[in-house]
Parts: sequence; C-alpha cells; structure tokens
Amino acid sequence: MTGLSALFRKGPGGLFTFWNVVFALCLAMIAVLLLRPISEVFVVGFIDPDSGAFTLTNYVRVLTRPYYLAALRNTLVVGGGGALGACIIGVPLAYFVARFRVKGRNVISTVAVLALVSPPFIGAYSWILVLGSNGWITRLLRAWGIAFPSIYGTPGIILVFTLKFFPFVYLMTEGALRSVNRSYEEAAANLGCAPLSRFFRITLPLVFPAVSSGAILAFVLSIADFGTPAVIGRNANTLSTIAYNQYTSEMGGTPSIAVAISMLMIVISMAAVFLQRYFLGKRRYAGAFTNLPEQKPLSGLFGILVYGFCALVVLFAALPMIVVFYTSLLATNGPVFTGAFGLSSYQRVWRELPNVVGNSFLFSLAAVAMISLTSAFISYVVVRRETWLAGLLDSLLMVPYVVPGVVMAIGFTLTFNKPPVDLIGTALIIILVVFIRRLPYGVRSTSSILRQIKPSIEEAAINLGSPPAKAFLKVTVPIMIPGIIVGAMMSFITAINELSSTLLLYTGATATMPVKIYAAVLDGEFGLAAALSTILLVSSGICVFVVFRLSENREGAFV
Amino acid sequence: MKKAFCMMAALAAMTLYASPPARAADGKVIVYTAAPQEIVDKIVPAFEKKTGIKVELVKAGAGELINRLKAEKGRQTADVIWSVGGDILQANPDLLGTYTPAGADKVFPEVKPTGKWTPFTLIATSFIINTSMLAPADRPRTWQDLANPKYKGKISIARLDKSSSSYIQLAALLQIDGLDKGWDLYSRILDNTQLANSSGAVPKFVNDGEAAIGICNEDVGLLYKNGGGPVEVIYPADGTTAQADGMAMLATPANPAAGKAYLDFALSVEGQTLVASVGRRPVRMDVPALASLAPLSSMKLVNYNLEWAAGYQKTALAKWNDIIMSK
Repeated sequence: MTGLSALFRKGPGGLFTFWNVVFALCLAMIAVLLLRPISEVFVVGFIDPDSGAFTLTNYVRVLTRPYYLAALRNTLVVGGGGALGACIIGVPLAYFVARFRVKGRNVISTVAVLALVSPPFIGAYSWILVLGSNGWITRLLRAWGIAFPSIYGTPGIILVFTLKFFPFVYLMTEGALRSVNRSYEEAAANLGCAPLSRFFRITLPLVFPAVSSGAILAFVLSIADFGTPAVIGRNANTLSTIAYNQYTSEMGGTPSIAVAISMLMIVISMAAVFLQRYFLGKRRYAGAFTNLPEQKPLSGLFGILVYGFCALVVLFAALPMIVVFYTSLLATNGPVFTGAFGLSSYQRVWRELPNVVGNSFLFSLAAVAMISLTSAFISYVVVRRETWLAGLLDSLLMVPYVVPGVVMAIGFTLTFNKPPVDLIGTALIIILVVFIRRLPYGVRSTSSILRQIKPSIEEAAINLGSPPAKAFLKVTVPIMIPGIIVGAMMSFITAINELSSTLLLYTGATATMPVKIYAAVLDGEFGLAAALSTILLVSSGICVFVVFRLSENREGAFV
Repeated sequence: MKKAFCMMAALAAMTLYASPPARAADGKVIVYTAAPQEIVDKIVPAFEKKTGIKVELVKAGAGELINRLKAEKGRQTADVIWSVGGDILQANPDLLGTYTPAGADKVFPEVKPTGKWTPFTLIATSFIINTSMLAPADRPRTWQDLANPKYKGKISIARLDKSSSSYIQLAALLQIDGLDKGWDLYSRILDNTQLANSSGAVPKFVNDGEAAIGICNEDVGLLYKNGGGPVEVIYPADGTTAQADGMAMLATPANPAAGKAYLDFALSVEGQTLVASVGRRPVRMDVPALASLAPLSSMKLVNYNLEWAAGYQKTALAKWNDIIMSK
C-alpha cells in the first residue's frame, strides 16, 4: 500500500489526484463494459445483414410480422400479469402483517426473501413437476377422472412470476405501511368511512410509491426473464425467448433481428421506469415517523381468513424449494425415477459435473470480488463528489437494471469478438458480463452505508497528512465493510443464479449450474436438475443468512 | 482489513489472467452433440472407462451447434461434432477437419465416409402417435393426412432452425412431392403444428399427451413405446427416408488425438453395439440392429439426394422462417 500512496502523492490541486484518476477509471470501465456493448446492439439493429448498409427493415420486420407481434403481446401480458399478480398477493399480505399481530412474521419474510433469491426457472420447472401434463397433482386428478387445464403457456409463466416477484411488493409495501401517519386513517374512520373503502381510498394511495416501485420492478424483471418462458412457455414465446432463438439461428452471421428485438425490450423496460417516475413526480408524499399505526389483534372469522391467506402464500412460495429438494432425493435410473429414495442425482453431479459446480462458484466469486472492489470506489465517487459527472455515473449505473441479460450477452459477443480483445468462449467474458450486470447491486449497498459515514473522519486523516488513497483505505473502508459484505452477498446470489446472459456465452469448458439445469430440464432429466438446483438454493440460502445477520434492516437489503 | 482488500484485488486479478486456459484441454475431449440422452449415457461412460479421456459435452440442436461453430471459427472451443444430421455436416465442410475413423471399411456402402464426416447411425423418419388420444381410425398414415384440419394444434415438430432431423423430414417430403407441392403441404402441416425446441422433446410431448402426433426419429419414439408409454411408431405410407447422422473432427480441435480416439470408439464394434441396444440402426454391416425395429425393406423409401439436400438447406431455412413469421 506504501507504493500506491507514493504513486498518488501529487500536489493537492493537480489534475491527477487520486480521486480524479479513480473517477476516470470508473468512467472508462463503464464506457467499455456497458456503453460500448449497448451501442453495438443499437448500431447493428440498423444494419442490413447481407449488404452491411443502413436499413430500417429489421425494425419494420419485427414490428409488422405476426410472429414477433405475438411475442410482443405475450411479453406485455406476462409482464403485466406478473406485476398484477405480485400486487394481488403482496399488498394484502403486507397489510395483514403490518397492521395485525400475525404470528410467524419471520417465517413469512424469510420465505419471501428465499423466493426472491431463487432463480425463476427453478420455480417454472417445479410447477411443471406438480401441475405439468405428467405432474403429481395432474396424475392424481386424472386418476379421479378430472381433466386439469394445461399449465403451459402464459398462465404458467404468470403463475411463476407472481410467486417469484410478490416479495418485492410485499417487502416494500410493508415497510411503507408501518410508517404511514395514523391520523389520516383515523380521520376517515371518524367521518364514517368503512374499513374496506378506507383501505382503498386512504391507505393504498398513501403507500402508492412503494406498491408501484415493487410492481414496476416485478414488471421489468418479468419481461427480461428468459428461463421461465423457455421452460414453461411452450408455444407462447416472449421477446427474450425469441431474441435467444433468433440469436442462435443468426449466430455466425450478423444478429440483426435479434438486436432489433433486444432494443424493443430495452425500450419497454425504460418506458415502464419512466412512467412510474412520472406518476410519482406528480404527487407529493410525506413520510411520517410520528403517530405510527398500531397493530391490532386478530380474532374470529377474519383472523382465520388472514391466517389462511398467509399460510397459502407461504406454502405456494415455498413449494418450488420443497419440490426441488424432494425431487433431488429420489433415486433415478437415467432420466427415469425408480420410485425409491437415493442420492443418485447428487452422485451424478459429483461424477459428471464437478467442473460445472466449480465454474459456477469460481465465476461468481471472481465477479463478486471485482464488484466489491469497484463498488467501494464508485460509491465514494458518487456519494462524495457532487458534480454533474458523478451524477451521470450514478444514472449510468441504472442502465444494467433495464437491459435484459440476453441483450447484454449479445452486446458482449458483438464487442469482444475480434483481436485485440477476443473473449469469445473464455471464462472472462462470463465473469465480465455478470460483473457489469450486478455491479449496481454492490454500488447501491455500499453507497447507502457511505451516506451514513461523516466525511469529517476522513478529512481529519487527510489534514493530519495522510494521502487521500490511504485515508480512504484505512479510515473509510473499514467502516464500510458491513455494507460491502452485504453488497457482496447480494451480488453473489444474483451472480450464481445468472442464466439469461451465460446461456449465450458459455462453451463446453465454461458451463455453469444454471446452464446445466436449463439443459437438463429440456432433456427431461429432472433428477439431475433438482440436485443442481438444490446446490444453488443452499448457496443462496447461506448468503441470505449472512445478510440477515449483518444487516440492520434484514429484509430491506433485498429490495 | 487491508489484507482482505488486497486479497480481493488479487483474486480479481488472478481470475482475469488465469481464465484463458479454460480453452486448453488435457486428457479431455470436448464434444458438440445433438445426441439423445440415451445414446450419451451408453457411449460416453464406456468411452471414458476405456480410454481414461474425460468427455465434456455441449448439448444443443444441430442448427445451434453449427451456428456456434461458425461464431467460434478459428478458436479451439471443441474437438468433435457428434450425432448431427449428415446434411448439415455436408453443407458446412469448412467447419470440419479431415479424419476417417478406424473401421470405416465396415460401413454400409450406401453411406460411405466422405473423408470430412463419417456416418454414426442410420435413422428412419417416423410418426409417433399417442394411442390413447387417437383411435386407430383417426390416426394419420401419410404426410398428406397431417395437413387435415382435424389435427389442428395436435402435431409436434421440432424447429427447423434447431434440429437437423427436422430438416431431413422436410427434405424427404420435398423429394416425395416436388418443391412446389411439397412446400405447400409442409406449410399446411405447420398450420396444425406446435413447434418444439428440440427433436428430443417431440416424442416426450406425445408420450405425455401434450401432442397427439409427432414427427421424429424412430429410435426415440421406440424408447417410449418399449418403456410402456401409450404410443405407436409408424412410417408414413407415402414415403420416408433412412438417413445417416454423422460425426466429424472439427477444423481447429484443441486435442486432436482425443478427438480421433472418440470417433474411433463411436464407430467401433463396441460403440455400435451400444447404440444398437437403445434402438438406433448401426452403420456397421457386422453389427445387427435391434429386432423390434421395423426392417427398412418394409418401408417405402424415397430416393434421397443428400447433395441436393445439403445445398438447399440455407434456402429452406429462409423459406421456413418466412412461413412461421407470418403465422
């Protein structure tokens, strides 16, 4: 570290101060890893794949052909359905838990967080195991002579998204409901407003920012998700599955149509985010920390209904995890379940796929190490330097939220496919794509803790003669460590569950667990998929535990 | 604290510099394959046990594998492509190296190795039918029958851009009926079809009752029938074809010796006997096919022109794309 500090011990007013250099490096990194791939995607969309000339035909084709329009419609339907479903479950659950003395609140929030961190495609395939055409319940009902409607297609996708994303709405809304000023509701009650109408006319509007943030998040993540429609969608294509299909059929040539579809996805996500900002901007909300609402006791029929509702939600949200764990313990003979219990699926993982498990951990750890390192510096720049450039950096970090993984991966293959930077088929390209996609999670976590640290401590160190780099590393970073660890855990969870971008970038030597699970599910190898999924879920669960221990606002860290 | 920070930096740096060897190979062979899992489970463990060479598989549809290879051209990402349609290999000679495995002289003379690629097995195109969904009188017998509107939404076919067996089905149909009538018929069949993402999924959908009829390779259909599923495998009465799926060295293998060993094993008596045991027709004259397979002489076989089929593939794909994009 002495070498480093000597390096940056230039005059305090010079251009090449430590933080200026860090700032420049951050911007350069974002330019290369984020802006360049996205602009490649943007440009290629306007290029004729045969002649290389400028053209609008790619977009015209995507916006006129029935095949693409059907996918666009499906995307909006499952995105809207997922968001709506998340609200229908999340808002009542939040209201019950926040306003009544519901026992087992910790169980509900733990299951919600676990549902949130488990990859959606695992949910999709466990619902196939239960309600698919050969699923347990389907077979049971068939034995009784009841025909069960198909779960495949948009209904299945919406079911999975609802149960996957309701925790966003629940966790955000619950926090908001707890901090609403009680007097508004009491005033309405005194004026004779009935409880139900009071909820819709007073309470719900007051927590609208939280509900809408959760819903928009569910919408954006739903339309970007690849694994769920690919596994359970069958003939119902969404933009992300046709972007992937189109990309694989254009591979080796120019993926013009695939990028045109990609741009469409980005536009929809951005429109959703801006729409929400616009609605929020028109109203003013005052957070109140006085006169907080009280929790009422539950009794009678209403109490039974509330508990029944909570229990059902917990059961449905936890079902994929239970199914996956149970299935992983069934003995298999090839793709066929023998009916007995056994560890043969784990033995197959151990025998055939140890490198895949190793890859997953190696890539995720590498990406997380880079994220932790970079986000410490970036959040310092963003939080402590209130220039417009720092503001720009902050807004640029919003971009990975609205760019679907499939699109980011296509951008990477377009950018890093020829010397001097030829990364196709390497582990590095997977690590880098995961890094840039998950960097915002790390930055958000470190920024929030940095905002609570007074700059004066660090300034004192500098006044006493310490160089800025040393002051940052020896004074500020140690205080930031809990935030860095929480950020690292959050990034690790999302990194190890990443499917949509890695599926386009992997080769034989760089396959990861989600990629193999996806392939195994398509092949009907449900035992193998279940064993790998259990390993993923347990890894994520351990990280959740660490975050719970380190974070003051346990569930808040996840939304 | 500083230590932890330095370690993280070191770890990040290490992975940055240590990642390129992910491409290198030692004592392992990287195989791109569209083979069904039953064949993988027979061949791969037997090969690993015999040679001590570890097999790393990339499984995808033939179309996707070929496109991956085009995108990865010049890089040593894989050694061997194994069990994809002969047409697609014939159509992409520049992706392949040259190697003729040991035992090539024992192969049926109709499907001789070309020097670039070698046939691995023979597969006849068949219809798989869910017997509990369709009464015997309702079952289709010919390609023409498949276009009957009463089968709307009941047929499963793998996507042409993913599956090389799908292309062989189409190419056979075009050679039975001629280009114009053939495309018209195929397009009307597509009106009745739910596309599957892989040819392996087609018989599964039929077995599980998600589709009543599937067009698929006979061996996978037979697996479900022999496993007790409510399915029947029939060969279209107006013509079918038995084509080779092939295997080849790639143009830039990372481990050529291991690749050659793999191809040799796949064509050996041992390897061919293993594939015969799961219902594939072996290409070696000295290895018998499974008795439950209908003899080729019982089918109406079309005179299949592989050269033409390989050359027409790109046009066919564009035309297919055009048809499904407009539906």
